[in-house]
Amino acid sequence: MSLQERLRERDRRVADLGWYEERLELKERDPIGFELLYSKMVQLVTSAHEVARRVSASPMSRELGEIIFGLYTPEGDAVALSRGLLIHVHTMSRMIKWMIEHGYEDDPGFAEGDHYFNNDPYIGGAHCPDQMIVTPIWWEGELVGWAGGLTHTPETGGSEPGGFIPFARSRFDEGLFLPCVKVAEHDMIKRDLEVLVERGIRSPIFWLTDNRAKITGSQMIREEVKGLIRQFGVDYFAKACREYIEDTRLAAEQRIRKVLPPGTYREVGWRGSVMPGDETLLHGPVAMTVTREGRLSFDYEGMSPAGRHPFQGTLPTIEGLVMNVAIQHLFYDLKHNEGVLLAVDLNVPEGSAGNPPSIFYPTALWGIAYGAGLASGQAISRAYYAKGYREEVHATSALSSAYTAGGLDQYGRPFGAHNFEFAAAGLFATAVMDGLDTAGVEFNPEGEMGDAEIWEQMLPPLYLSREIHIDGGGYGKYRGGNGVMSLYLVSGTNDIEIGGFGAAPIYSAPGLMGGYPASALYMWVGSRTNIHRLIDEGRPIPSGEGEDPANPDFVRMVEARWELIPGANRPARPAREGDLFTAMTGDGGGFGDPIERDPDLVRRDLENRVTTHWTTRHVYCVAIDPETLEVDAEETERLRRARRDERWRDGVPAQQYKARERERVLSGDFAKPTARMFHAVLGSSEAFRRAFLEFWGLPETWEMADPDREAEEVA
Amino acid sequence: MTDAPGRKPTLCYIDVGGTFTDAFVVDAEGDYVTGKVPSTPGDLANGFYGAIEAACAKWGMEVDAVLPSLQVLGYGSTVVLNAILTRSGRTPGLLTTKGFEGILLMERGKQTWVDLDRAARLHPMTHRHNRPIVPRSLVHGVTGRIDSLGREVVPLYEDEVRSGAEALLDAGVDAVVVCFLWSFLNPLHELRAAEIIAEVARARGREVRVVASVDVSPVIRELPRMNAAILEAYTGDVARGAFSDMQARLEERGFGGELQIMQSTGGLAPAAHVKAVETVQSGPAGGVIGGRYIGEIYGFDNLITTDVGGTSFDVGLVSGGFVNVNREPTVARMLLGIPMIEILSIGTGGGTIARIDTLTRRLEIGPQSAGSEPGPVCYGRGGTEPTVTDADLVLGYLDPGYFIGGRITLDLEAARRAISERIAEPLDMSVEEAAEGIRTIADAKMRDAISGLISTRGFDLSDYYLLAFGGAGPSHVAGYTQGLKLAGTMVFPFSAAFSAFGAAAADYEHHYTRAVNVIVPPEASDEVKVELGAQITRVWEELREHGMAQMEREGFNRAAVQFRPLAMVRYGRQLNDLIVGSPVERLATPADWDRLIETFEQLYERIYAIAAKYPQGGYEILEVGMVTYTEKIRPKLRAEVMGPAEPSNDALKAPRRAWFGGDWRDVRVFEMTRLRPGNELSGPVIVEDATTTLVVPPTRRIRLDEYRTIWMEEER
Amino acid sequence: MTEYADELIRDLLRDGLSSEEIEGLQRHEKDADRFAQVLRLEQERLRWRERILLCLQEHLYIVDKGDGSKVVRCDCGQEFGDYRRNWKESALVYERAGADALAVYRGPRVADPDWSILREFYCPGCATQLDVEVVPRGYPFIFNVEPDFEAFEGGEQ
Repeated sequence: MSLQERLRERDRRVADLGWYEERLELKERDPIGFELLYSKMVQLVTSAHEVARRVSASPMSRELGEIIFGLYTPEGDAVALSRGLLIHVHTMSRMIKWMIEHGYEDDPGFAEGDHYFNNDPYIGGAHCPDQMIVTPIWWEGELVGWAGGLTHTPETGGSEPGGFIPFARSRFDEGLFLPCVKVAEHDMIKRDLEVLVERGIRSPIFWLTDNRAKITGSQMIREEVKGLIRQFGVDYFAKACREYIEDTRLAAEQRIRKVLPPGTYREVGWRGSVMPGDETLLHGPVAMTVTREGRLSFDYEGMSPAGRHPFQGTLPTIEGLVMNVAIQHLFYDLKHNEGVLLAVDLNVPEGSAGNPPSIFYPTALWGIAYGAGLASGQAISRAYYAKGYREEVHATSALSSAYTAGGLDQYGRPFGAHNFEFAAAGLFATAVMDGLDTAGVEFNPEGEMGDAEIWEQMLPPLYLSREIHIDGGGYGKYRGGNGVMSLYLVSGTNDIEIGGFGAAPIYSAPGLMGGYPASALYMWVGSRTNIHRLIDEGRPIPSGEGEDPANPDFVRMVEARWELIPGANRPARPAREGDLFTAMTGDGGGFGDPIERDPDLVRRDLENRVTTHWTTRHVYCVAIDPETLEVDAEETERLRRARRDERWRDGVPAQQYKARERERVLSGDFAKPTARMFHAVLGSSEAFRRAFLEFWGLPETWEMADPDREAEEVA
Repeated sequence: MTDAPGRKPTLCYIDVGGTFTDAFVVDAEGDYVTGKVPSTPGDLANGFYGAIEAACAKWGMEVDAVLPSLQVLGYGSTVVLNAILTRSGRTPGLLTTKGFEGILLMERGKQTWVDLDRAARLHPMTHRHNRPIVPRSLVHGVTGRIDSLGREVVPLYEDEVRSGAEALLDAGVDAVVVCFLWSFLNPLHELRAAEIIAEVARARGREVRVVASVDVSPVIRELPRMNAAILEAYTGDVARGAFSDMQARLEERGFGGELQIMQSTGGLAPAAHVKAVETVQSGPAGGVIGGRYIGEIYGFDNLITTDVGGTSFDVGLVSGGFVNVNREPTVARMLLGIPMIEILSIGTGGGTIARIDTLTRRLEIGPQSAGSEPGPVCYGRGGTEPTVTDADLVLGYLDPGYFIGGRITLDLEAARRAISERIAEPLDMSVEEAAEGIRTIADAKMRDAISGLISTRGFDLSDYYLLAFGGAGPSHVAGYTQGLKLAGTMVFPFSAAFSAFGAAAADYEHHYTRAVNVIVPPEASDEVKVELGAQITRVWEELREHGMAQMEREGFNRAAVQFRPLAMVRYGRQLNDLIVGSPVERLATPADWDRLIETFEQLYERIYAIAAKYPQGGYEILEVGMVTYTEKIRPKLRAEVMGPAEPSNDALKAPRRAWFGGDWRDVRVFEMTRLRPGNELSGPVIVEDATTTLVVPPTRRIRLDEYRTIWMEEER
Repeated sequence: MTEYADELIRDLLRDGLSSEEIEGLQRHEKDADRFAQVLRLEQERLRWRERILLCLQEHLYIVDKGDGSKVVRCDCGQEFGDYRRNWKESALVYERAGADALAVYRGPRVADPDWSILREFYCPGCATQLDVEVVPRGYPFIFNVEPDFEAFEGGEQ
């Protein structure tokens, strides 16, 4: 049977019968050997992960472990995965299946020692920087599986350096795509394809050594698998692979039944496109349903339609995000493979920003797909809470941002990259603890920011500070984790452009159950500074934002042409030695009412200088002596009482509020980014339209005017 | 080894573990004796003498007769590690690059999960920050920047150093750590800051210890470097106090030499000169060095050393004849810029406590340990929670009257009671089943540690010989090697003191490294090769002189000192380099250079894949090193003539009832010291001596080779 | 028999657990009967005549009034009506944007009200902040949780 037939047969089986493998014979007959073989599989993909990291020249792979390896069935279903970028739990599956569906088996064929490369996010992956290589595993003339590895490369040869292109209008601004291309034969890399990369992007070294890392790891897996087949027999191996997937599917459904109560849970994630003249808020709603049978489904009906901006994701992206969230919060201790996907249903409307209508829509920043993915995690938290598992309840973790740069580095070599310290942003607050500062991101649970010295080796700008983003985390009874706030000095080169990517000027990480969202993202750039004069005269120079973000230290201390970029998306522009700029990794959302926060936690934060007396008094309503840091319990009680009185005074009964706001809706009194969102979503989702009309009590005939049409008429 | 008149003990090594203290004494001929006594945490010296006594008694000698004749007295110390684990050091202040004051709270993110298992790593709810050793209030920033090429971009603001120092002294610290970015490439700012701090202290009539990160860990990556400097400051006084106290007590009893401390990299160095943070892994290092020595004797290149002590199970690797060195180890969830022999340690040993988890009501083993005080229940020293050793006793594997040669009489009834009440009854099973369960889980944990360590390196178990030692190693080796396809499994008659044996086989050794900036373009011209070669040779010369001077200070004569030049080589812009032992002493000619690169590429190919090579990127050497060492007398293993397979009757002891295959059986027991080369035995059988017990289940058999090394094999 | 002692879970509900105890809960296989145990403990704590059917979120519960109706109630006693209707419809609402937002978020940390604002929901009874929505102006209230009680009875609960 050809692979294509096997794949079709597999799809039919799953669709019609619901299971992946009918009976777990090996598991029943030989439980010890069954588990032993799996732990060996996990060990060997993990070894590949560890070994490959040391081959790469990219800090993403080496320092941050932004790399993942997997073992797959002949049809391309994941059997075992290493640690690392869990968001790619099924990315390589998609690639393998795509090649099979497109007749690669016959032409160009899958020979022993062939290695296929892909970074086309519509086939698998989230964006151009997600680059994967898979290789077939043969045994006595039969293809028995696939080994593969994926890395996140810091540069792709796009219209701007660094792979994340916040102003990409089409796929063709994002860089070099090699969709399912054979890059190695007989385990030897094809030189001509290397030249393509060497002359096609700014920092070929990362791409090329990442490929070496992936090929090394895949080869390791391939050879070790042959060892396992020798030991267990090929039939046992093949059957076991299928049983592991079914085993996971069953375990996942059981877990869902156990920890998530039946019901529907709704959240909304937001992002935005900042394309000049077309600023648009993006809508990422999710309705999570748990059935009594333990079926878990995520419905993204109402998601904004796709557009000419990179703040959207491909279907594989949103699938990966949901799986990633599910693994981190529900299935962390299971066998991580295709079975996880089989236990969960997804609906992402076609044509939406989570499932664009054509491959030309850019996806560099995932955008709303990421927002919706995080919202899905909140929905899981609400269900956990209802079931009493408070220790698993969490707000959202940060939406990260970073700076990008390209030009000639301090060694005189061409370069282009982004600083990836954003893999250590502020984590979510939980229902039982503060969020961790500078500790992680949703797409990789093993958060790591790398040492500053490694980044300064890779990128010319020097750190003038790398601090905890004071009070960045959402306020709450438990506060969100604070991210990193770095201040950079352009140095060592005058041939450099600096840009940034982040989000629209929105609150980035929502809070939960009364907790506030995290700080919005922003970036400061100061050009034509007098910093070198300050240094020459031995006067103080800034080391960060300081305690008042409204009037940051660097702006007070350094004369410059200061530019504030809300949302932190900035096209790369030339910079000179002495220029200053900031980058932040984002903060986590808070949990619960801030005035219920234990004053001792506030004091501890003051001791660690991660909160301010301003916040202590104005937000947490805690009276504390600035010198001794002693809490005045009575005064605190008074402040909190007063805060409640304010709420009674200012809070409007919901029905009154609705009546008032209904007028706004009727008059279409919305700012452009909001108006564009409503107009687009009301036009694309009948379900959202109905809910909207019902909530505001509007007639069926009500239509929302196209804000841009209007504008044209006025003009 | 009977007493010979005029025997001259020359070398003694003491390994102080959490539970037991072992002595390994070698005489001028290379003959040796071993001794083992319970550790005495309150007063280390007691256990110290006790162990020497126990060993030399076998030669009929007294401690006071032995000490004066010793040329070498080595010491494997847990002082520093314990100070870290129990957080009982002396908190220093920290001056760091301005804008980086939060670094110990940020922990690079990684320190929130670095030691967790897979499930917990993927489950971020379980991640936690550690309490920093230096609280934020004792951290001060100083303006000044060196860049990635070692150039000064912002000069050091000395007034900020002063005010920082003043503030720290006001706060009462007695040590100050200085760690600035890129100091390993250009130490100017760090060293100047150190001077200023000392001045400030003097002006106040105070003495403070100043630790510059470049002096402790001159390598890239600021957090591991800073952690190393902090731990040095944190534990330095504790270590120096313990070592000099020990030295003094030894001198009182006639020892004339200088106490030698085993370092984490596996070399001995005089107590007065050793860095505290370089002894974090002092004890376990000995076992791996011993493994390498055994490898030399047998001609094996690949060995796994497994040491089952009272509190932990330590796995070490010798690959291709080299001891694996980990240059980015973590200690107590801190990334540490200090090279250490790579050892995987899990909290499973004889003294490890078995308990029913109060949350899940599942049987769990460790990581808590009863240590030596109070120790397992059967020691009768007040221990109430059953341990792995108690299980071994209950199942009949240990002889209550012959533990540590009878030094401790084991209380079988107490052990049975503890296991019955705390494990068997709650789980509704028999005492034997409960005890067996404890052993099974403990053995499985050890087995996973072994296969995990090997496979994450991309190595193949079947290339490796496994060495089982440590007091409890032989009684568990059958369990933790079950199902592992190894080249062979070896157990030693001096098993309990194997780490001490290994350390006794170690050289005097110092490792030095220096940051350089050698970037070699692809297809470099001969001129370039010569020029860069000269650059590296120059640094080698400096390090060689530095090491020579050190060795002389330590009292060795120049002639005896040997050198191993190292270069850390990588392909252009890679982030990971390989430690390459240079095939040539100096890089004078293009040919010398090519030989170094060739060595690197061979090593690279062996570890990775051909496709992974990237000569197109050129090469980089950002760090070079020098190992200085002098050999000394080593214990000898003497080959004897092989005898019959059947042991002589005098080796046979009274049979014992022991639990095998789910039932009580009468099992033959042999005295290990009376078994002869050539002897073979099939399980079930128990082989014991004063300090250890080898348990051979029905599925295994053993044979002794000409060195009396016991090989454990599958029953045919 | 409950898998965890009542004291432990009571402390969990009262924010009385140490970081280590919490880690213990997080790292172990989940206990099957937590749902019932938590309801029982909350019932004991609040001493309500009505049976608590579900802990909806911080401070809010769904209780069975005994007359067949199931309503949302705050632990201060304030009721929000039938659980199938969004409780937010009966709360106090406060829209935080512009200057008001600057009273909480300083400088560039505040979001641009053209993109999103904060919608705070307070309990009319105790003025506790029960939820903070991040939404654009004119966005319908988000109805977060709709339990399927029929499935509950049928399911494993």
